[in-house]
Amino acid sequence: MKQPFRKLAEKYGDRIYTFAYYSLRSREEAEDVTQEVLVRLWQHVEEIDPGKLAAWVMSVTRNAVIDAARRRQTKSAVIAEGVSVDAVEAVAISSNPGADHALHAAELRNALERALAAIDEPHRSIIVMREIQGMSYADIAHTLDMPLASVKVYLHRSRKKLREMLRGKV
Amino acid sequence: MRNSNNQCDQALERIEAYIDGELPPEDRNAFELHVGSCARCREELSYAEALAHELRALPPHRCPDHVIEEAASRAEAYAGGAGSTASGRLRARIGSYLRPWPKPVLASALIVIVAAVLIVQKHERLPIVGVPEQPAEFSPSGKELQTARTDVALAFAYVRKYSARPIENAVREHIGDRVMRTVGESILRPIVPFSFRK
Repeated sequence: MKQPFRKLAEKYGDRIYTFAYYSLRSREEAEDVTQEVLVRLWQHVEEIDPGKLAAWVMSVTRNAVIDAARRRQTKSAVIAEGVSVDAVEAVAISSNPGADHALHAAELRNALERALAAIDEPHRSIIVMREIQGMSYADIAHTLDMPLASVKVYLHRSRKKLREMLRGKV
Repeated sequence: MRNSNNQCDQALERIEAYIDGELPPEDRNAFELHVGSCARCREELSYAEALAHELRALPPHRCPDHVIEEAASRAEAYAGGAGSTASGRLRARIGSYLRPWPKPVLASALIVIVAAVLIVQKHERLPIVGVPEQPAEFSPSGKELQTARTDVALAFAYVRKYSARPIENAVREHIGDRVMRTVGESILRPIVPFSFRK
């Protein structure tokens, strides 16, 4: 039993964990969500059309993330401390060939992660699926059950929101 | 001046589509022409491109091995321990709550509980065994009902989309037997069409 489960877990585990981590910005909660989704996947795998399995996994993961965020009720408070000024400077610096990228990379990543976790739904799901997980527009549309054109509009709005969030703290 | 502002507004609206290479050739040319002559829009484009680049550079994370191990144990309990029955699920759920507690803590807690029961029994001479249990009245709160309705709607959407399982099974899993027994029909009726019920 462990072998088939492991195969499934290895196929989807990273995808689930990455999505949960960037959405919740907590390793512990991301681990809980991943474990929950993997068990549910195992329980339902035979009932799901194999062609729809990936979309099912992401859809269940997203719902589990939303539940986890609801449980701790800090979804909107994550950004309250504010995105560091350093992060915005780092974006500017990153386009400057003379700048020391390594010095600011961690700060920038930190700020981006905080901004991502604070952005509202479905903007966050779409930006994580597209930009970090590299999913196609069609797969995202299928997962979220929305028209492909809407996915693109949401993605553009998401990046614009991130720009504003990061810039506003200067 | 107004004309220039309009052009800036239009360019700023199109930045994301430009970065994604989704502007038609005519619009793309117009965008590049404007950005070439407008320092403010050029700066905004540069910022947007840098941010998009950094966003794409965020690394995917590897699922820790222990998560897969623990999930495998839970899945095994589900499959081997009559996971499809309510008692199997209950055992798995109880197990998952107990696992995070170290054994010494559990043992100490048990000793304290047993000691407390013995002390109470000795001093108050309360008949602990043999007291008939009163059946607990269960009336779900408004919040529980609201949650159940949401879960039923979600379960219904899933079942319709992904599988041919009877809706009632999925619903039971989502909202639990207690709520189902008490208010099942009143929850199902407005959400799940009759033809989808078991």
